[in-house]
Amino acid sequence: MNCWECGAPVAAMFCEGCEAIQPPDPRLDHFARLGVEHRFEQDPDALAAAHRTLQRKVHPDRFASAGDRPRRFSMAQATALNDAIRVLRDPLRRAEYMLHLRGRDVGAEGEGRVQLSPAFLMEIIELREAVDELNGPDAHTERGRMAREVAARFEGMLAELGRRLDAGDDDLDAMAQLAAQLRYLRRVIDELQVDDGPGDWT
Amino acid sequence: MAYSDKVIDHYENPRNVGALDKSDANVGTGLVGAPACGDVMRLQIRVTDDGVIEDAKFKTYGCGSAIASSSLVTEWVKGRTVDEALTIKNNDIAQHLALPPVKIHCSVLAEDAIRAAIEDYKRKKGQG
Repeated sequence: MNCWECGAPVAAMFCEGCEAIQPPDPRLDHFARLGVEHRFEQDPDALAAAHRTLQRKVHPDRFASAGDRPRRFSMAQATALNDAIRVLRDPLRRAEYMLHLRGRDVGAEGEGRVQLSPAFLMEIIELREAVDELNGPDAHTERGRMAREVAARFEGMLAELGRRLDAGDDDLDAMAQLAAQLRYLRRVIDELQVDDGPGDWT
Repeated sequence: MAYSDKVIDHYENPRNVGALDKSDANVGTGLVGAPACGDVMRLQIRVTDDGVIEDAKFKTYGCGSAIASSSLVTEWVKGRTVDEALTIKNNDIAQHLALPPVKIHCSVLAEDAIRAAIEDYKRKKGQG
């Protein structure tokens, strides 16, 4: 790409020659956009810091008195950075995004839909029925116990998915299955959390 | 997005919610899920020795359209033969409930559920 202002070749948010802000590079994925390594394992603080540093550079406030184009580009850059951090800071979404980059869409409908085993679906129905049936004086304690149990399972499966992604596992079907199962478990956790108020186990 | 009156009716007064004994040889259980929205649907049928569906129950965790689709299907299959029930198509469900395009997948899920329940029943009967 070339700078819209001076025509020099650019490969960054700002032109090296004239320092003009550039539109977001559509070839960058979320990892590249934030300048972090393409992998599941991420340091949450480093991710947040990378986003913050870049966001500061392109923040629309800095371009309030600039021309129309720089203003628009800073807005677009800021939006792209926010899109990236929103996906990457959530480990499950990050994992799903990595699958998406490899052509596997966990949320696909129709032909490409991820098929879950009846055994797993049965488990989910039973879990959700158990949540529905929680009442009485011990419900609060029981809900907390269930929440911790499901959350532990969620974390374990998520770690496995992450390991497989980072190891370059080729079994996309199996990994998409795992991700889909994690979506369901998260639903159950959310359900338990809604009734319990904010929990501290996530 | 506005739900049709029929969806709201099935959502507020779902028909045939519950469970049948899945170990019963005459009961078929279908379990399907849609990872896109996190919905999960269990649909069960109990079939007489003449192959007529005498009872149907469902349990769905999902949006109003998913609940309405499964509720409607349990109503439709009762009194039909297993083979007749297999002719129920998601289009019929979607049309009857006036589902908007973004909710068509809920009717697909309900069709899959009835198919899965019938397959399970046939497997048990050695016809599968």
